[in-house]
Parts: sequence; C-alpha cells; structure tokens
Amino acid sequence: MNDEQHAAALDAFLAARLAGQDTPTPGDLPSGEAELAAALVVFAQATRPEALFRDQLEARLHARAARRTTGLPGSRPAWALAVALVLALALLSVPQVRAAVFEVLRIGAVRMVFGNPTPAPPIATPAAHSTVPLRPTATLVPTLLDLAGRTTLTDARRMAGVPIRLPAYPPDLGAPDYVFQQDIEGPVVVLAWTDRAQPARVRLSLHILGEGALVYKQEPTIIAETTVNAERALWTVGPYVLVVRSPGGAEGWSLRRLVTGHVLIWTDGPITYRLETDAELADAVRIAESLK
Amino acid sequence: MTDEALVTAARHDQTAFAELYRRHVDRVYRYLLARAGETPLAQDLTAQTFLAAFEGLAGYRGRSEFPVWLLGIAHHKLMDHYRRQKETVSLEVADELAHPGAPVEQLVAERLRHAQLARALKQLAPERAEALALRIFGGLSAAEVARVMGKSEAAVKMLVHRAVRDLQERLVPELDE
Repeated sequence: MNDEQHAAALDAFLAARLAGQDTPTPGDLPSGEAELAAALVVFAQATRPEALFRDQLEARLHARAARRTTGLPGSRPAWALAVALVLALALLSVPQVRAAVFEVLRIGAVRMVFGNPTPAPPIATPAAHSTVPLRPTATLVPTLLDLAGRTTLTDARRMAGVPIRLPAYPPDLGAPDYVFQQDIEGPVVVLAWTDRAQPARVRLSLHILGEGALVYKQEPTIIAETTVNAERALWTVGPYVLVVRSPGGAEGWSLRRLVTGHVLIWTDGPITYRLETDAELADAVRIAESLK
Repeated sequence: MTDEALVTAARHDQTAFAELYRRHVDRVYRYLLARAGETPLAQDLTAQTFLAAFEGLAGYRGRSEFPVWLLGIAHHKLMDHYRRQKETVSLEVADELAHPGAPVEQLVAERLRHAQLARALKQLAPERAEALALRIFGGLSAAEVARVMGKSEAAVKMLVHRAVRDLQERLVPELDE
C-alpha cells in the first residue's frame, strides 16, 4: 500500500468513526496510526464548550438578532429580554461572581443560575452600569397586577396558542381574577388569583409558558427536586426577577419580582408551568396536579 | 429543517440563527480549542466567529455547505489571531506525553489535554495541523476541508494522514518499542 492509499484508508476510517460507526481498525495502515486517529475522534467529540459560555454567547446573538428585527437602537427596551440575559450572564464573567456560581440549570422554559449557599458576592457594582435592577428590592418592584396584555380567560383560550388548564385545588379557588397574555419569545399566559381580603395581593399565580418562551431566574436560594404527575419538578424559594412585558405595550419590557414566596416549576410536554404560591411544597404539588 | 433553510429564515426570524448556533457551536469550539489550546482564547474566537457569521449572513450564497462557510470564518479568525500574536513553540510536549507500554488509545485518552494537543499541532507543518483540526475537530469531510483550505480532496487526505503520523511520533514516541 502506498502513501496515497494509506491516506485514503485513514480518511475512510475517520469518516466512519466521526459518524459514530464502530469500524474495526484497518490492519493495512501503519502501526498505531488508526488507533491514534480513533483516540483523537473520541477526544474531539468529548470536547464541548462550557454551558455558561454557550448560554452567554447565545444571549449575545439573540440580542443582535432582536435588534436587527426591531431596527431599534441599542438601548430600546423591545429586546430587553435578551439584554437582561446578557447583563445577568455578564455578571458571571466578574471573577468574584463567577467563583460563586456553580451551575446553570434549565427546566422547560426556565433557566436558572445557582449560587453558593454562602452569602452571595456583591453584585451591585455591575448593575450600577445599567438602569436594570438585577437584584431589586421589594420596594422597587411593581405588583404583578399591572402587567401588559390583560385579557379574559375566554380570549386567552382562543388566542394564546397554549392550552390553559385551571387548578381544581384548592376547591374555593375558582376562576382567576386576572389573565394576561404575552409573548416572551413564545406564548406566555399568566393567571392570577387575588386574596379576597386584600385584592391588591396575589394569592396564587400560574404561568403557562409555551414553546420558545424563556424565563431567566437568578440565584434561587433554596431548591429541591420533586415530581408533578411523575415528571421532574423544581421547587425554588427566594427573591428573583422575571422579565415581562410592561404596561408600555409591545415595546415595553421590564423586570419584575413577582413573589417572594415559593415557585414550583414543572413541564408537561412542550409547556412549562410556574406556580407561585405561599403554600408549602406538598400543597403546591397538589395544586399543580389538579390542573384540568 | 436544513441549515440552508435556517439561513434563509434567519434573515427575518431571530430564532433561526439561534438554531444554527446550537447545531454548530460544538464543532466550531472544538476546532478552535484544538488549535488554540486555551479555553478563554477558544471561547473568544468562537464568539467572534458566530458574531461575524451573524453579521455576514446576507453574504452567504450557499455555494458551500453552511458548516464549511462557518468553519472558514473560524479559520480566518484563528489566522488573524496568529498574525497578531508572535508565537513561541514549546518543545516539551513529547517529554510530557512519553509513557511507554500502554495501548495508544488508552494512552492518548488518559494523557491528552487540549493544551498539549495544541502545542503538538503547532509543531507540525501548519497545513497538516490545520487539515487535521478541521477534519477531526471541526468534523468536516475531506472534501469540505479542501474547500476551506483551497486544496484538492486528495491533498487534504494526505495532509491528515501525515499529520496523524507526525502526531504519533510526537505524542507516543515509545509506541513501537
């Protein structure tokens, strides 16, 4: 076998291994050459960029795409979702912040960054470069009830493009007092039930996120895994921000802290649900499993 | 949906480019990490590649497959980086990796690190290193590598063959003992 034939045989072997075929090592190649090539393929295919880097770059691209689609200059809020993602993820490039972050987890449409259980590092400085409060205090955050896209349950069922099921538990819950329909890179429906005694207070809210929607959730302080209808679910606690459409209309985006209580997140096929409640985990799961 | 259909869609649908990104980010990053040897640099060049691809999408005419076009951009970003950097080449890699007795696949899997591989690649003739990185880490076919490098397919196969042979000499010098 001459050099050209060796080269062709090695290329055929590489093609098979790169395609995932467990082709036997050709015996007519020089000793060790095919084995080394096979090892390089294994090594190459085990190489992946860090999830954090992938997400950060995707957010940058997303921001550019949104800017191009809207034709708006850099600071307009129409693509604030992407900007918020970039800003939040940019924090992770700050060494003292990154050191405290150990995982990005995604469940359905919800993406979370986990911090160390130790006190969070100071992250106010990067946020000071922006008007976006990445860790807002309660006093800065408006109520859920002035969201844009208020509609009726009937219209939302007709228009939202996602199935809207309501909790049958607790039995006194009834129909939601508020229904909002938005598009955050995908259909989102927010149902809110208010406290009878304090109508401005949200007793329970259910977010239904269709395909393509994305919610970024920063530093949940406690998390537990559970199940809803035998599917994996996450139970988180702690202040966080959520990007939502503001009352400004189609171009208005803002960050809101919706609840200080607990959030149960689960998926059902392509739909992601977020249940915000003061209830305990067992009760939250019961509410989640009662959707009809 | 094919890459080409996504490229067309990406001109008006912001989610389409994200799908192209998710499909190809691994291969671009692998190629750049194999050549650069450092995670931060590979990340920076990967970001530059995709941002340039996004900005230049209108110029993509479909004359070559999208991964070929994309890795062509990555290749140019890498070359630009090298032009800006005066590089020094470590001659220590063979010593670091010398480990007699073990089967070569096991040896490589256990000992190989991206930085070491990148250093070893830098000791190869540049075209051999580039062909090998595009073929194995970029996951392109020999014909596709040929289009990126402006070579014939047969020439690329020969470059890869010689690159593997050279690497074998550098990475596992005791293999034949």
